[in-house]
Amino acid sequence: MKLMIFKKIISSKHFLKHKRKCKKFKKYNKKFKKYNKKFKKYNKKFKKYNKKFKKIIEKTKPIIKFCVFAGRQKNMRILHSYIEILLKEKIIDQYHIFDFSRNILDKNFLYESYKNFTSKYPKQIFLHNYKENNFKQVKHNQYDWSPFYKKISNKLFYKNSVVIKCDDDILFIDILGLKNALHDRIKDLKSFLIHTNCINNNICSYYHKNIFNDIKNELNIFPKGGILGPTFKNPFLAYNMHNSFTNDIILHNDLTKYYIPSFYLNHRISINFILINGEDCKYFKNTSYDDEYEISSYYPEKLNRPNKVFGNCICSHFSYSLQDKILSRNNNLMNLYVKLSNTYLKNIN
Amino acid sequence: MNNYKINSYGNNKFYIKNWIDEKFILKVNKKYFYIDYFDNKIHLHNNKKTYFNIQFFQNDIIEIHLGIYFFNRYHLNDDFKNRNLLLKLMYNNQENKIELINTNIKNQYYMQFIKSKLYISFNEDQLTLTQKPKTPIEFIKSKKTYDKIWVQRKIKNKKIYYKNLHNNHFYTNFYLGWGCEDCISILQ
Repeated sequence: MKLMIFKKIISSKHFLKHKRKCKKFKKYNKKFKKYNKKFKKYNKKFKKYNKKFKKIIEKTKPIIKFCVFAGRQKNMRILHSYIEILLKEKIIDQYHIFDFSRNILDKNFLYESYKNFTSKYPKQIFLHNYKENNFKQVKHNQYDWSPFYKKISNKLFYKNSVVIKCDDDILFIDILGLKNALHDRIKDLKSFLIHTNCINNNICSYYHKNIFNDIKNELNIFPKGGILGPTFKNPFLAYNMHNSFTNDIILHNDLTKYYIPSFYLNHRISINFILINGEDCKYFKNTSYDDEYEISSYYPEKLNRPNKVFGNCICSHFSYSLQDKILSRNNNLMNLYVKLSNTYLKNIN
Repeated sequence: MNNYKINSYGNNKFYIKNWIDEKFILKVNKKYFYIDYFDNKIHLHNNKKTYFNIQFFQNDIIEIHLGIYFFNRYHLNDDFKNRNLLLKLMYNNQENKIELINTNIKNQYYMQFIKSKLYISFNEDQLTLTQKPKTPIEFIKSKKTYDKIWVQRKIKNKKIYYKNLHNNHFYTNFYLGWGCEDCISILQ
């Protein structure tokens, strides 16, 4: 009886179907195993190529060179705290210290800080103009900046790189903003200079008039031709801006209030913190005394390229030489900037 | 994001907004006030002329300026340089005020600084400041013939000059900035 039932089951349509399906399944399983092996092979190859591709990208990715016209120790101490974070976060690749110090104490400080940085970031820190600087580079009240421009106009230096030129009295750098600005600099090939949105810059101050309400009317004068401006003529305006900016950021740690829309400009601008495309540095071979004029006026006009202020990257420029007597009268502002760097960088970390 | 355009047509040919609108020429004895870029001093010239802006406060009180620089005793005695603008004149606009004193000749005036009581005079085509009136000065408002003008560019000593193709006059900004800020028009 059991045999009969078994025979019936075997000869049944359902069983035959199932048998066929099983055969097919075995076939597909074999094929799947074959493809799986192939896939693993390709995966290995892909990983290899991916590594190679990443290496190529790293090679072609512009090297970010942060160059400082280094000098005054009290300013450099603050600036170095920001540079250290920029190096740590790999936002910049190299830090170039151009020794433009004007006394031996500052010079020694630069050398010490160069040593400290190199111990932490070997092969990323460079000291220039150290031996050459004999504190006698002033002519007719103008300083000879040629060591910097000769260096950056060398093809070995500028090739495949973005050069950041920073004054020694930049006392605040918006770390994340700088990342955006660098991204914009790499993309934007038409702007000659990209200047950051700088507190106490003659042009930017005009656009900050709505932020600093107390001095709104005073700031509402556009510096004609990009020269001078209300903050030059009245250093108390700069004092006011520094004071309210530092206190505000220390309290609220919110930079968005200070962002302005980016804009192009076809006139001169004070070059406190600028981003230059490496390829454009070739023009600066003979630049020395009138560097601000040549960089922000002569070459952009000659090449029919505008300058740009990038509104989403904030930095703070402490003082122009004419403001120095008022701003450095006491250490209040400097202390505020020390406090600001401590609180701001704590949050970044 | 705003944008910009370059008013460039062909090789080294641009059109720009006519800048002489609302500007004044100062004249003494058929010679023009002219400031040479290289020595930063005002003297008289037969053909070359500098265009000035004149701001009227009352009928007889004016301020004359050239870009960022004003006529005042510091600039006229020395050079048109930033050091005078900044060190001696912070907050002080009174040094720039000039009173027009009538002469018997039509459209000609003696110009006297109100604060220092000095007169603008000329001695052998060179500008001097004198205690007594000496040189009557005529000022003429420039006439605008075209809305836009065609210019060509020339470069000399790292300074860019523009040649007006309608009358062949050369133009550059007096201060060390862009020779002409209208060459690239920025669309806001």
